[in-house]
Amino acid sequence: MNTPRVKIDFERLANQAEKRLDQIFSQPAGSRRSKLPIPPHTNSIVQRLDRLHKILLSIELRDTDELIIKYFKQLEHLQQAFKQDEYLRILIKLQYNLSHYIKTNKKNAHPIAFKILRSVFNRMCDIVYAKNMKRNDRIKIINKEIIQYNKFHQFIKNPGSAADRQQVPAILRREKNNFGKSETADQESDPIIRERLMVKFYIKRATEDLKNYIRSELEKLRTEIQADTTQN
Amino acid sequence: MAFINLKAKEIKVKIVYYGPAQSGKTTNLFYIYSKFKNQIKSKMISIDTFGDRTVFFDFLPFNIGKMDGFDILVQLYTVPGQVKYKATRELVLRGADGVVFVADISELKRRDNILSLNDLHHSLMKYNQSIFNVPLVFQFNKIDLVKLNMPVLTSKILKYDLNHRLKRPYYLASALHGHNVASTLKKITSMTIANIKYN
Repeated sequence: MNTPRVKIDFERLANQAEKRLDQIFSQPAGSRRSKLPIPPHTNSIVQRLDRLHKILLSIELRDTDELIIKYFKQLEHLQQAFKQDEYLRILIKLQYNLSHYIKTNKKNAHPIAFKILRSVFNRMCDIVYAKNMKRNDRIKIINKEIIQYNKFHQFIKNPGSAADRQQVPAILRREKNNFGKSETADQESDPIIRERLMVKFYIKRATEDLKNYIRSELEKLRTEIQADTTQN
Repeated sequence: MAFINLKAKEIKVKIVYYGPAQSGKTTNLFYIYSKFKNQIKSKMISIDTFGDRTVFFDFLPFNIGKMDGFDILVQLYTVPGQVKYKATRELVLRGADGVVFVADISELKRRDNILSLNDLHHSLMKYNQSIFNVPLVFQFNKIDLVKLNMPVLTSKILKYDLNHRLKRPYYLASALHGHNVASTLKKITSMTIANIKYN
């Protein structure tokens, strides 16, 4: 059976389609402003985190009062949204304190403050997105952030003391290791990290031994060559 | 390529939203879906999406009704914008009848926009299509950033960077607030249907 030959006027069809789409997408008056769509992935918490993230990135580029105030506002909204979740509230509080510090110190704010702020924000996102995260894991994450924050807080309170001066590089080291994956003194109690530190230590020692061996061999070679040249 | 079923009197067109990562492709589809779901009577499908990033693609099919005895089905797709998902982008782009290029007007994204358009050009070539022939509409998205005093690219720069040679219709839009989202879709749909005869 043959299919019937049909001539389709696509241009007319296109015009009709445009008119039909006009009908479909014609919005009732006033609806545009009153009902903003919820951006992707439906829930407003994700939306707020997204906004917070954008502001955070902007703060890192240029920390203006306006941006920090926006950041505060988003934090307030999140605080409301997470009022049942004590762990997230702690992280929000830390972010609030850090952004307050950045706001008051402006250009003189220590660069680590931005890094810690980003770290705290990232950990908050980790907790929000991982719906089934165990309580212990949450506590671990929060503890790490609190320790980091406290060190920083001590440092900015008393930047002159030798002990604090030693602590700041520790924070920096953590930063270099991408937060939470670092091996600072407080984590040395962790057996896996302790093992990793031991491996590092042995590798370092082996490298030193190897260097010494090469040096001694070179020294021997040099004396041999010198002996040969004097004989000749 | 548009699918025309003469027996069932049905025409299917595939429109792909293309652009750099986080330019607002999914937001476009989501706006259409959330705002007009009663009219389009369809469901948006997001496949393998992590957080706010599209990892595979979003899909929104809808029927715009009978015209000249034909049911017109429009299928909207988005591609993952992240550079690492090139293979997925090419897969989604396969058989596209029309493309909406969603560019991000943030100053920081200037290079990303150009690279993404270049990527589109190369991906289309793999399917023996040319960026110069395919129905294409530009959407310069995120004009709401202007209100936030964020550094943005002017439409002159955007036109020069992206539309200098192509000379396609373009819209300044804010997908988040729905500004010119529907206009972009209307334009690309009519352009795509009008272009079917050439295929």
